[in-house]
Amino acid sequence: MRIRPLESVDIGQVSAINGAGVPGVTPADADEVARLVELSELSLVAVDDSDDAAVLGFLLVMAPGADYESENYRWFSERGPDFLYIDRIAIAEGRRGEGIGDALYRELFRVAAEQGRAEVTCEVNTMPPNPGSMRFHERLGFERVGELVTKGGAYEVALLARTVARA
Amino acid sequence: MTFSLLALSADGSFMAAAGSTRFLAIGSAAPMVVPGVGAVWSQAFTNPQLRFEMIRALRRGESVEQAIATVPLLDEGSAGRQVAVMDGRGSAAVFTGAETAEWHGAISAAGFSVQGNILVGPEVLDAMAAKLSVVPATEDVRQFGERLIGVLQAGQDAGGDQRGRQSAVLLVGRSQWAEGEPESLVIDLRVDDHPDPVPELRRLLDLWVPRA
Repeated sequence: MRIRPLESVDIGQVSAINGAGVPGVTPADADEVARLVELSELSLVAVDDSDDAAVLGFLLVMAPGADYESENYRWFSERGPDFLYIDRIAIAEGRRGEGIGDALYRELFRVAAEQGRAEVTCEVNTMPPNPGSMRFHERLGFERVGELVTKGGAYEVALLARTVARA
Repeated sequence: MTFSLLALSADGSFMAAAGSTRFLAIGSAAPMVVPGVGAVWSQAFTNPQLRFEMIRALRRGESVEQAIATVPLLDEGSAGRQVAVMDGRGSAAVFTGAETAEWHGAISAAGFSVQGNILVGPEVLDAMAAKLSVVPATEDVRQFGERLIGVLQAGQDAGGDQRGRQSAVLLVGRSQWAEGEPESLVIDLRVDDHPDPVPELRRLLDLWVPRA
């Protein structure tokens, strides 16, 4: 497996992987994925060693200043420290537990350090709960900043932040 | 330290903030209801100023989600705060800072939110949310107030504030407001220091007479 930038030809596969990840990630059709990629500072896919076109997982990351309406993104924007915000990560069904997420995050942390960002931030759903994702992020050093309940209780998330190690 | 609620009346014409805590005069620092704009509750290491800021955000036309997202910009101590905001249509958002003391949490559904910290456990908010989920077909403003005090009592009966009890408040205002209408709250009752503040709040509501 290797990590490379997300290309426009990947968007169909990315949208399908995203769809299989609901409710851990919010739904997004191909148009929405394309819009999110446009807003992203960093968009990565993990692909098969033997087939560069076979997407195994993806990561979309935004920097401060994006015209993005997500209340979680906005929360971190208002918080102050310079950051990279993980809008979403999803791994293809049947390929989870192989370290693909770790590999995507390693590249993200490398870029965050290179860019001199203070924090990498994200949210994890707490209702419906996503204990696998919570464990994954805690293992990688993310800490809880707070919890948000929005949309009349339809969304409950834990806001997480990880300090970027200085390069 | 506090359990509290924001709620819309059965027909949506009134909105309220109510709560109880082991602290002097909760009504002076935590709640705010502005007719036609929204209801706010600021608790934990209470920053009373956040109430005004949230109301200002709603007046600017921001959604409750947008308003609550500005808390960390407004307040460097946001990790220690718990803030709930509801607009006049009953849409609510709650932030609970990671440094607020356990047990802390929040529950929201259409037309209400309940939130608390330093509670005996999740059962306090579960009891309040269960009671708030049962909305009568109709209610006048007094019945609305009685229902909300019943919700506070359910929270207290489930254990309430770990540290005991001292004060309680009930504020009710009109959800919609038009130029020329009175801006005062319809109900504004506070128990500042009492060994059993929620029943005392109920006693005050029994004495309350609507302004002619």
